[in-house]
Amino acid sequence: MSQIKIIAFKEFKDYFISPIAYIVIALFLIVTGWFFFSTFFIYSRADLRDFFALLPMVFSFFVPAITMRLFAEEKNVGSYETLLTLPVSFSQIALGKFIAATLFTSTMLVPTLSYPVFISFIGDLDWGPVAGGYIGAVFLAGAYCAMGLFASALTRNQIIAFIIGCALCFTLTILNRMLFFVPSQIVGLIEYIGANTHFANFSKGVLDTRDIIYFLSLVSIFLFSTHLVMQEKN
Amino acid sequence: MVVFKEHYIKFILYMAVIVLVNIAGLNLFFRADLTGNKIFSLSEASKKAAATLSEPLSIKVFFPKPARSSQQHGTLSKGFAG
Repeated sequence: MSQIKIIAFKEFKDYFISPIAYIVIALFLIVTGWFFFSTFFIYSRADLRDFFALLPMVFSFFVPAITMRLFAEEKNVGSYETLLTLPVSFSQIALGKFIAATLFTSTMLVPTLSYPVFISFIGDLDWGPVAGGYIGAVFLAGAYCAMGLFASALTRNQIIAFIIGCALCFTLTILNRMLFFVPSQIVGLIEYIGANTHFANFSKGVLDTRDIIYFLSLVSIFLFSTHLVMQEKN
Repeated sequence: MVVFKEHYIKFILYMAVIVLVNIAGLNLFFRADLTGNKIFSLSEASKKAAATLSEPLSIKVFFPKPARSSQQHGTLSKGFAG
């Protein structure tokens, strides 16, 4: 347990030592802020629904950028071998890195908490869906981080890790909009696999165990795959 | 090669467990409505009214603005079905 904590803390700190963190957070805030507030006053509704509708798409580009360095950089620089000689197991490394990435993505969301505060000044805001949306956003971030981590474990090149991660996250994001093309028998299944419907439930303010189980399954599948890839490559 | 095969089987078993957990979760679930007016849940009164129905009921709904309200309607009609 303490090893996981040490690895997670080290990785989390590493983000803030390099300029990556500040660039990613600034870009994230500019992109979400711009897209959200450019249509916010047209709809004239005091809620954050459009902000949360934006999140899966934005996350599918930003999260792989955050996770791409976790394994790929260490393999490239050569510190990965050193890490493996230390008394830690594969699963502890994977879990530690996953927790660090999820924590960092959640940190990225903290400045956006100012949006509901501002909106509550100009209208009657229902805080339930806002809380649900942020809880869902953390689950979504976790699922995408697990996928990004898996992509990073596959290769020693950060750019390839980024593109594989993007492809995985983007597929899950747009799957719900592709339902038009799938045969009617499997529409239900494909809809369940896509991340958007589950996240939309959270952002409506409905906490459902089915959606929580879905996101936790995604996390565990991809963490397990990361673990397998690490064993395979060793 | 043997190790590779072992990983493969492990992965398939793991996936099977996850899929089963998800299927079980579909039938055994709990939901909490965080919205202020509980707009995505059925009230006790409507549940009682629905319980007294003896034959299938068809509901006609008129939408002023298609996109938003049809979404809410979908959630509520799923609630009645469940």
